[in-house]
Amino acid sequence: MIENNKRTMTLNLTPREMAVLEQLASAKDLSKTGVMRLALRLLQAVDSKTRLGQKLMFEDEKSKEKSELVLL
Amino acid sequence: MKIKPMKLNHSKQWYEDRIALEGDAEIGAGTPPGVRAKTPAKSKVTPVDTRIAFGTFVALWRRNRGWDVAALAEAAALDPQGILEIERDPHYEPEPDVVRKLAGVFGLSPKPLLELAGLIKPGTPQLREAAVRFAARSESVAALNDREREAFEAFVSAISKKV
Amino acid sequence: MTESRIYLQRAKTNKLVEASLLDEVTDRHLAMWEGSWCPAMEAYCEGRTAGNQPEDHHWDWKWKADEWRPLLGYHSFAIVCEKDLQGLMLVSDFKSARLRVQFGKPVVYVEFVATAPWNRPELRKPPRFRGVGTVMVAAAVELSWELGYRGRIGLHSLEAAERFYRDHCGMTKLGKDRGHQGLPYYEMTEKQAERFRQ
Repeated sequence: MIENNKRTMTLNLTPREMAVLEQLASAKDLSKTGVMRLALRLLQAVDSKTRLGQKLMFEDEKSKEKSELVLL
Repeated sequence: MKIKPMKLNHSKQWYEDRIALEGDAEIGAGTPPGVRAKTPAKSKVTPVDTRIAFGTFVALWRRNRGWDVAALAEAAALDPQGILEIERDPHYEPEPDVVRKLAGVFGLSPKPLLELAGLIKPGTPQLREAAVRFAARSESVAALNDREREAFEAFVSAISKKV
Repeated sequence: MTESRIYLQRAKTNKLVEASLLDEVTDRHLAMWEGSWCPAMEAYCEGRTAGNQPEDHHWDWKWKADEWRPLLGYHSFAIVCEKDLQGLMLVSDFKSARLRVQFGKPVVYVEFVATAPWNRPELRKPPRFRGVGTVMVAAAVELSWELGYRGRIGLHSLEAAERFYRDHCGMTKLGKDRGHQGLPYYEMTEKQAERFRQ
């Protein structure tokens, strides 16, 4: 469900963070706001799993070797 | 990025044309058989998962009363350090007597709490699943918010029914 | 919650029937699932071996609802027609495309989609309604558009449904996904989405 009642927030980023945000926006063909909203959803979903004791892993397609992404 | 409530606005003709293409085709997509079971009895909830819920429950019960760890320890005649371990470390296995004393203070049967603490064999998988969902909705901030209180009360109700 | 007027086709008469697409699966829909889909599915599965049962007969939508509801990145849809639940879908909006032409760009990913047991020709001949798949794909594409993803969607098709996604929806198959129990993975590009919407 898409909600219509949004609130505005001012975001202070370092030049480096802004550069990353712009690069991601370009790569993902999203607005900067779109990238931030995507990041929020992703973090919430990942956090809900890690709080249950699960780990976020990356798997190398070729070697099948797994490595953990350690979050916050 | 403009966001507005999502609505479909296709013409009736669009549906005529598209549904004709669909015909009697099967349309299912998603996780295949064997990965998720219909009943939680086949879930892979581990003792650590339910201990997270157990620790969260103890912390929320205490905060709901406005108690700090020392106050709960005094009420239950327990060592405060033990309570801290329960609340913070899901790998910590409390003594059964500790859990019974906490149950006494909470006014609950010890059996479901002993199960959540991983000290007795799981009875019904539904309790463990309820515990995991409860833990996922709870935050460890100072005051219970409405959402936490709702989750907390629902979980107490679930535990009480399992007596 | 937003309601869209949509159409399904009554298979007996081939006539369009007005229906509703809701952009949120509510407790009422889950009660309808439990009260009508489950018994119909159980009745069909009785006496049948595992290999002859629908691939999704074991899905527990109520259990799934408890997992997705607290999370921002999940969206659910229900189709209701003639006061019966006809279709359910859950999508997520934080996964990335794998197709080279759109690699790394976000897609709306169809986590689960199913039509009511009485709409399935393999369970009932003739089925009651046609078109649930079309409506659900349209909903996923529209959501993708609203989120700024330009219609990109992805899904793992059940094997029996590949023809629908490949031929009728015009999606691109990326092959069987070993990380997803060998199910074939499909994506819809922006161009394919544009064609689908026309």
